[in-house]
Amino acid sequence: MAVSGLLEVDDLHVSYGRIRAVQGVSLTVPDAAVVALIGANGAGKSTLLRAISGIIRPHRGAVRYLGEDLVGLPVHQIVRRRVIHVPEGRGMLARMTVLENLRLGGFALKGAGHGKSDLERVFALFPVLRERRAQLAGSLSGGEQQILAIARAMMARPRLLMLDEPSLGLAPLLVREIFRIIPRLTAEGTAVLLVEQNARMALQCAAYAYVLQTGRVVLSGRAADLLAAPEVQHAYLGAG
Amino acid sequence: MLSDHTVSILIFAGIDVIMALSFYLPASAGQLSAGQGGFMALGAYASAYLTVRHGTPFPLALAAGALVGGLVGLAVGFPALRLRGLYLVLVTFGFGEMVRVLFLNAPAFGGPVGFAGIPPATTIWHVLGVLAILVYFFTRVSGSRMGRAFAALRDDEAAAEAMGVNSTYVKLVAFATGGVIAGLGGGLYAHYTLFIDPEAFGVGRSLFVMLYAVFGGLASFWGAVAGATILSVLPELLRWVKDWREILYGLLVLIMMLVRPQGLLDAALLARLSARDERAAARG
Repeated sequence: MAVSGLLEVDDLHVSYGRIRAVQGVSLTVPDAAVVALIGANGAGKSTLLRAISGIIRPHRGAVRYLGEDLVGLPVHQIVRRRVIHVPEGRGMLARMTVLENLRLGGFALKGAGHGKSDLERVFALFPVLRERRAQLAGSLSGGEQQILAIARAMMARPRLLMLDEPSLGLAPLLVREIFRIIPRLTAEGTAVLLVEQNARMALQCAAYAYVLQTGRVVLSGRAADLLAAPEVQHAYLGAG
Repeated sequence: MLSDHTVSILIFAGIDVIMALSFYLPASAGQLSAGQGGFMALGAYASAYLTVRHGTPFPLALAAGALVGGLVGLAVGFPALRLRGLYLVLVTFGFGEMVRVLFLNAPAFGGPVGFAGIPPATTIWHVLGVLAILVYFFTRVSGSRMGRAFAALRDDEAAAEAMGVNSTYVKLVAFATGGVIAGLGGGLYAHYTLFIDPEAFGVGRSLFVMLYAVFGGLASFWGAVAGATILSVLPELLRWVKDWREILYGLLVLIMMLVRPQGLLDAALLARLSARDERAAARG
C-alpha cells in the first residue's frame, strides 16, 4: 500500500530472548481508518502492538508516527503523543470506580477544562457507563469492562487507538456491540489498529487488513478483498 | 488546661501520626517502606546538629531536617524503581539499619552514647501546625493529578503507564515526599525529647510506623491518622492493667487485624462516606 499514513511500521523485528516473535513487519495505518491485524495465536500480533506502544523494545526497524520514530521512547511519552493501547485483558483498575478509571484515561492530557467535555463525549458514545459510573470497575461484567477499557482510552483523545482482542471472552451479542462501536470512533478522528481472532468481524469493520503468520505479513490489502480471498476464507474464516 | 503529661502524650501521638503519614504517602503509590525510622533519624540528627552546633533557629533547622530526609528519600527511590513488594520492603529495611549503624559510628553525632543537649523547642502548636499543613496537603493531593497517578500505580503499574503515568517520576516523588515528612517528624521529636540516640530510630520504630498506617487502613490518609492516634494513645488507656499492658496491646492489635485486616477505615466505608458527599453535591 502506497498510502502515506498516520503510523508507518517499517521492517520491525522483536524478540523475546531467542524467540523471534516479529520478523520484519511493515504496515501502514492511514489517518482515521480502521486497520485489522489478523492471524493465529502466536503470530506476533500482540507483540507488534506492544512494540508500537513502547512496552517492549524492538531490536530493529522503525515505528514512524506523524514522521517521528517512536522506538526508544518511554511508554508515557508515547501515550502523550495520543497513541493509546488497550491491552488484552483490559488492564482495568478494578478497585477504582468507573468514573475514576475514566478520569485516569485523560491523565496524559495536561491542563484543566478538558475533563468534563471529554466525559460527556464518552458517556454519549457509551451510555451504559453513565449508569455504572459510581460502580467499582472490578464489579462490571466482562463486556462492560471491555467497553470501559475502550472508553477510558477515548478519554485520552487518541489519534491512534490500538485494541488487542476486544472481543475476547465476550458473548456474541456483546461482540457485535463492540464492533458496532469501533467505526464510530473513526468518526471522532481516531485511527484504530485492531488485533482480532474473530477475523470475519474484524475484516467487516476494517478498511485495510494484514494477515500475520509466525511474525511475518503474509497477506495485506483492502479488508473487503481479503474477506473474499480464498486463502483467508480457508484459513481464518472457516470456509471449506 | 491540659496537664504536662497529657500534652506530652499528645505531642508523641502527633509525631506518630506524622510518621504514619510518611509511610502512607509512598504506600499510596504502591511503594512499601520498612525504613521510615531511617528518614526520621536523618531529620532528627540533622536538625539537632544545626540547633546545637550552629545555633540555627528551630524552624530553619526543622526545614533542613526535612530537606535531608527528602534528598535521601530520592536516593533510596532509585534502587526502589526496580523492586516491588517484599523485595522493596527488605531494601528499605536495609536502608533503615544502615542509617542506624552510620550514626552509631559517627562521633560527631555522639555515636552510641547519643546526642544530648538539644534545646527544647517543639511545642504542641508546632506539632499541630505541621499536622494541619499535612492534612491540607493530603486532601489536595488525593484529588489531584499526582494523587490519581499514585492510585493508578498502586492498583496496576502496567495499566498506569498505559494511561501515560510516568512511573519512574511518580515513584521518586513518592519516596522523596515520604522522606520529607519523616524528616519533619524526626526534627520535632529531637527537639522534644532533647536527647536522641540511634536506637530510637531502629527497626522497631519503622515497624510501628508501618503498623499505625496498616492498622488504620491504607485506603485513605485518614487511616494513617486514625491508626497512629489510637495506637499511640492506647498504652496510656491501658495503664490500669499494669504488667499486662504490652500483652494486652499486642492482643488488641492482633484481634483488630484478624477481624478487620483491611484496617479501620476501609474502601467500602470511605466509598459510603464519599457517595454521601456526591449525593449532597448533586442536590446542591
